[in-house]
Amino acid sequence: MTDSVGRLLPGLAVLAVAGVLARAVGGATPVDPLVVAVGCGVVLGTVLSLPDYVEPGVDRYKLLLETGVVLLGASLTVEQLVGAGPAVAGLAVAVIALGVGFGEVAGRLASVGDQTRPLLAAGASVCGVSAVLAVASSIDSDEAAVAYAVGTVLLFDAATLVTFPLVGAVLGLPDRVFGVWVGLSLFSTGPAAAAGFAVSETAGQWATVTKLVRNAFIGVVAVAYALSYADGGRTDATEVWTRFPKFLVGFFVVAVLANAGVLDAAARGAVSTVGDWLFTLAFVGLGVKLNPRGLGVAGARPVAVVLAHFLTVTTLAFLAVRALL
Amino acid sequence: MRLPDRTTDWCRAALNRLAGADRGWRATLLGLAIVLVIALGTV
Repeated sequence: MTDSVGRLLPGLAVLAVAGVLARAVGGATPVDPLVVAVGCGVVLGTVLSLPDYVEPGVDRYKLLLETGVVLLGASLTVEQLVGAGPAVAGLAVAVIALGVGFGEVAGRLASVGDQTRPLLAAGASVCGVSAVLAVASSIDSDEAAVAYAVGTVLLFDAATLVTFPLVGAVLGLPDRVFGVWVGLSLFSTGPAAAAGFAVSETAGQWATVTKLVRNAFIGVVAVAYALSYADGGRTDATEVWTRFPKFLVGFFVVAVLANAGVLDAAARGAVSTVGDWLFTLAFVGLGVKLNPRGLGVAGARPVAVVLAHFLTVTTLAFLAVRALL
Repeated sequence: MRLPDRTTDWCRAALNRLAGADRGWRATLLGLAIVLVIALGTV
């Protein structure tokens, strides 16, 4: 055991150093730290060609990724679900169901690959990068598909963060209506909250609450994808359980602990911070293992599918919010 | 203080079992350990 830990240390140290660098650059520039982390990994893997003895530690990046998803369970709270009210919770469920369905159908029609399509559908419908990572681990996606999906989500995050406050100002919607619409439409929590608060305090609060309700379904969507991909022609329970991603058990246990009062707000914040760091380190490892040529193969079609997905969902969400709130 | 041989054997067996376990279970245990440490640290 001591030997194996010793063998992991050089690689984990490389991930840690590059992770610190990525967070520092991400903190000082508008570039997302996860993008910097992947970039650092690609440079380490292709330009610097790391020595063999760091490989065992770098290979553990998937363990870090899955542990990060386990920790995401702490951000799932029943209070938010109940507090948002039945109309908002119902709209969030409808957006997820519509979004995943649209992403799957449009993705198949556009011949987006089996590895990339679920990641984009989940990322756009539930909670951006976190959903991409949870579903990627559930269906064991390859590195190129994950990097492509994360890049696409972050591209839309940046574009919607800028455009939504402008659209909100033009439409002159009531704060609550605008906030819920933002929470239903945007992919990731950070941009949704920022776009809401850019308009008003009330809009920001509603955008955040609505987005957190959507986020609460990350586990359900990840389990659904895991079960559908576990089939493989056999549907017996043993086969399904064998291929079921066990880290989702951890995700739900952490969610139960967080809701049972074991974790207070400060502890949840700390768990979330550790999770963010694990994702950053994992993304360095993903970058090291990534073949940059693999990204070009995906082409622009998946981005076009996500754009169609976004425009459809945001338009229907707008009409529903206007009619119900 | 020296732990009884049976205890160290049990720990070694548990660690070996953990090292060879499914990655998802290891992520679950690692995640729960992190949550436990944070929960105890913020009490």
